[in-house]
Amino acid sequence: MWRNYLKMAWRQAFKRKGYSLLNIMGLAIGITSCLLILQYVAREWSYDDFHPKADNIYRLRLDSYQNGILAYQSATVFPAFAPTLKSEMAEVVNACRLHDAEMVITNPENNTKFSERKGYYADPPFLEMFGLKLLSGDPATALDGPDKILLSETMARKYFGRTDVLGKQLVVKDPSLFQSYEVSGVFEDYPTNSHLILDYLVSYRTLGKFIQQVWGDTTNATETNWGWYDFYTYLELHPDTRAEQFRAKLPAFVDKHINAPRRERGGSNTVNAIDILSLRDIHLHSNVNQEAEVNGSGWAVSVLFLSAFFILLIAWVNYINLATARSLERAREVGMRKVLGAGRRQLIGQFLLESFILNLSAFVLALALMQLALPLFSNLLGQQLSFSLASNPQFWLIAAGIFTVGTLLAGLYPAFVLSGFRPLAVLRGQLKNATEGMLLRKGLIVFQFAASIALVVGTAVVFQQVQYMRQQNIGVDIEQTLVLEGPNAVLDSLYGGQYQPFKNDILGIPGVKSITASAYVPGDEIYWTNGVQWMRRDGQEASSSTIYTQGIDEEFLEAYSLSLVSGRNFSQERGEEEHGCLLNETAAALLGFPSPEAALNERVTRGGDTLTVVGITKDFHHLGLQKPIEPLIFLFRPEARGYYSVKIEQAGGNLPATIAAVQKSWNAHFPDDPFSHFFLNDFFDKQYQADLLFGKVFGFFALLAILVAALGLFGLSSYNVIQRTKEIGIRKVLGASVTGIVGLLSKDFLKLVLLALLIASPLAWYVMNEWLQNFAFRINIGWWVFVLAGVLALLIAFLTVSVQSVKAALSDPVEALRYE
Amino acid sequence: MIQTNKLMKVYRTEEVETTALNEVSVEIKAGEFVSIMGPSGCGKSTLLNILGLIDNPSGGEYHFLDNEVSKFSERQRSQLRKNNIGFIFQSFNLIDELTVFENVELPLIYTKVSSSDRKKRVDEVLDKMNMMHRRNHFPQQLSGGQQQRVAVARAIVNNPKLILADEPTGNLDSANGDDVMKNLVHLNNEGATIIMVTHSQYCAEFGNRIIRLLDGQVVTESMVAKQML
Repeated sequence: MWRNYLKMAWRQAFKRKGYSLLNIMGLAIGITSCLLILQYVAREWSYDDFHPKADNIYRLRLDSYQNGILAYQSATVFPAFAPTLKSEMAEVVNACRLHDAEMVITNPENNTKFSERKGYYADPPFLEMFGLKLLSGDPATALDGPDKILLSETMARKYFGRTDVLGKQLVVKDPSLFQSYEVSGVFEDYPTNSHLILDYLVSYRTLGKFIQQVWGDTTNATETNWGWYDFYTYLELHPDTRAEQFRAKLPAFVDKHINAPRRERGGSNTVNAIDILSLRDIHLHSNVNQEAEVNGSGWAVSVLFLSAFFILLIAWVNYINLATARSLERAREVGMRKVLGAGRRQLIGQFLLESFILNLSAFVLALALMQLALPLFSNLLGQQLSFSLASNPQFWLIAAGIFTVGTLLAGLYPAFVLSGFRPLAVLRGQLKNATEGMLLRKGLIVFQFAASIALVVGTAVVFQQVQYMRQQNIGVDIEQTLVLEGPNAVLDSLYGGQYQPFKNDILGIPGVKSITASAYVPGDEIYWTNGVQWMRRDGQEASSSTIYTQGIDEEFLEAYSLSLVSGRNFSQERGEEEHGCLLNETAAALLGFPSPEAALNERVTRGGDTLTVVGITKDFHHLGLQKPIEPLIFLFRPEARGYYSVKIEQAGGNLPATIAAVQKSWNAHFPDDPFSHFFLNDFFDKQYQADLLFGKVFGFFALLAILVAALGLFGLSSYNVIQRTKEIGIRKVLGASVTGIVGLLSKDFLKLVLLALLIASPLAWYVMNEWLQNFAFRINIGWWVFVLAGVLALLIAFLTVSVQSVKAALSDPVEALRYE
Repeated sequence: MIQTNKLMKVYRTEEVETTALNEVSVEIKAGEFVSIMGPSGCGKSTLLNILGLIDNPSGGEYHFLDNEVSKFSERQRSQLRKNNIGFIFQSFNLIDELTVFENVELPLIYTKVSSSDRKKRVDEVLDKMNMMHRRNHFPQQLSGGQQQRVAVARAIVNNPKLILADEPTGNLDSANGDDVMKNLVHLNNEGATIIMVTHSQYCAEFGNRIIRLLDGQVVTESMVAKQML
């Protein structure tokens, strides 16, 4: 029996090549899209899954409230948390801290030197908690004393050309200190699907020793400080501990150690709170200040995940629609089979087998398409996705699931419809176009187009928002700006003597307009914050606010075209400028000044210093438009060495020559520091890359969804034409025009698309409006987006349908009537 | 074998009620060859379909092989049908995607006959219908007469007790039509009961009894004088 069915299925497929091709192509594209997206989504969801203890590890988050208002949330907390929590809370099995360790590292043997950013000062328990695999070195001692460094395999090769480098020395140059570290181990390269990128680890006690020597710290700050929030802190909780229970105990802990002592001291309006976040959730569900890396967006991943299934559903719907539309054609066969004794179950079996074969063909094609598309998709994502078939049982599980559900879901309905025909009616040619089936088919078309329209609207909104952010005047001139990362390997004591001649050299290069030194450049998240308070002359207590600090020289404002609302710029000649400060408008308002003018010559306190406000700058966007404008205080730091911004002449310059000249000068003045540069507009634009990428991926799949839906509509409209051949013939004999016929045949489908637009618009508006809430500065979704999506869908639907209807309308009416 | 008692069939649409069969009572014994005649729309095909268990009467009784089947479910009718009744249609109703052999084989598949038996029996009937040389052809490669011979082969492959033929010669020229009629007579002689619907007096007289219908009612029943053959 199955052989008979199989033959039947194959012959059916060959007889209706166009139909089969439509079906298989549609399904294949749907399955390919779905698998591609799932690959990506699976990777995003896999972040930090590889840790053996992932379920029990949590990261602390610090919340800071000022005057009851949440001022900031930070991924880094105070260094005293880790030891105190471990000693006071029984649930905490282990705790460790990480502190950023950017440095220039040199191998003195071969003078290999690089500016390194992806490393941390780490507590010894880190190795065990994060399951780091040591290729050499003793995990018990690798991080226990000061001046030890653990390298990743790749890092070891980079500096030494090999990995058996235990006991070797590396020289680390910092503006304050040159030190020598001993390589205490080499670890297997850290997986890239982690919220941390780890090239090297420096023993935590090195940091303590450093601040003791350089800053003269005598308080053992790296163990006891309750205010310095630069430490990522991870807790390993006992496996039996429930996060909720532990979380409930945190307010009392914070109150005891931070808020209560602060209240006793008085004079502070800051209240802190902490929370824990599961290690696995960091990548997709944390987006606060001082994240170790740019995290993903759980929302975006969920939306993509959903759209993957929508595309697949659209493809399945095609199958259902085409198969039921064809039922008329198959009816006679079904009727005959029934007369000859076929039971319903046998017929269902037969049609499911057909569905199985079609799905299987589509699936095989999809795997091939996926091979082809993966490099493209990886390129689009800027992220390497690998397609290792054999090594990924999960992939096969999902694929098998999609395949089975597809076969059943797409096959069952047509199977039921077809097997349900009354044989007599069928053989008599009395099969009516069951309105019920029509309704379902129409409903499914509406669903397909609604999903496609929603995807198109989503894409349009994403692009519009990104466009808006990029085009908005950010109030600071970032064009024609070559930024150099400041030198690290120069001791502070020598720096002044080296910078000035370098600056003079640079200004002498043709094409260079100016050079300015600053702690940060626009687009670079500011980590330097302090509580700032207005010292009111009337003796009243003003409240303290956390304000972001930027250190600049006197050229900064002019170089970046920043204007002053009141007061003046810093001036080297005046002297004593280190006791002055500039504020931006937001900071001035936050501190309580009634107007920018009123702030002038007022005094503020900041970290124990008293500063006089000399000017107020107009607000500008230091960060992308996702972020609100933060309060900024500018300090006069002509020796700032975060970045040098070199402003280049607009026209007629020879950019490569200018850069080469800058580099030559750099190498002459800072021989120990690698030359590292970027263009500020590119750098700033990077903040929009994630959203842009999301838009691209989203748009790509929106197009695929429409393509698949159009394929289905094409098939359906062609069957519609076949069904109405006689009607068309009669109408033509009676004098109907071609346009009239085309209109007649297209009208019904276009109505459905309009209905889809009506359904999709409010849904898409709601979802995209939610997405826009992520942006401090955002567009309003205009009505024209819906019009655009609607017109696009209508146009595509009309073109698709008209191919068939024009053909029918142009055909000889006699043909049509003879057909009957 | 067949006995109907006041069989009714009424078609209802929203506005019109059409009585296709009005209290039809007929009896057909095993071994008979009965022709049903009458003008278009008189209800003869409806009667045949009800007798063939592919339609349900609206009222009255129908006894088939000692079962009162008028209230049978589709499943029960299907069961009875596939083991006892063979159908021949005016338009042949062969399945285009199946070869001659596969078309004829179909009833055996649904009655779960083993593969080797199927092959034997299909080849037997194809041989009998003189279609062996065409066994691997598809229906559209055959002439009308050949198609109808395949349809006859399909109708008899299961050795049904009853063969129903609805205008079997309607789409054929007279030579091919004669051929089909001779086959039916032959089958009847071998013991099969045959009920045939036809417009043609000529064809009707191949049978041994003619039932005439008009407006859903039996108007006359007459025996055929056998000297015709």
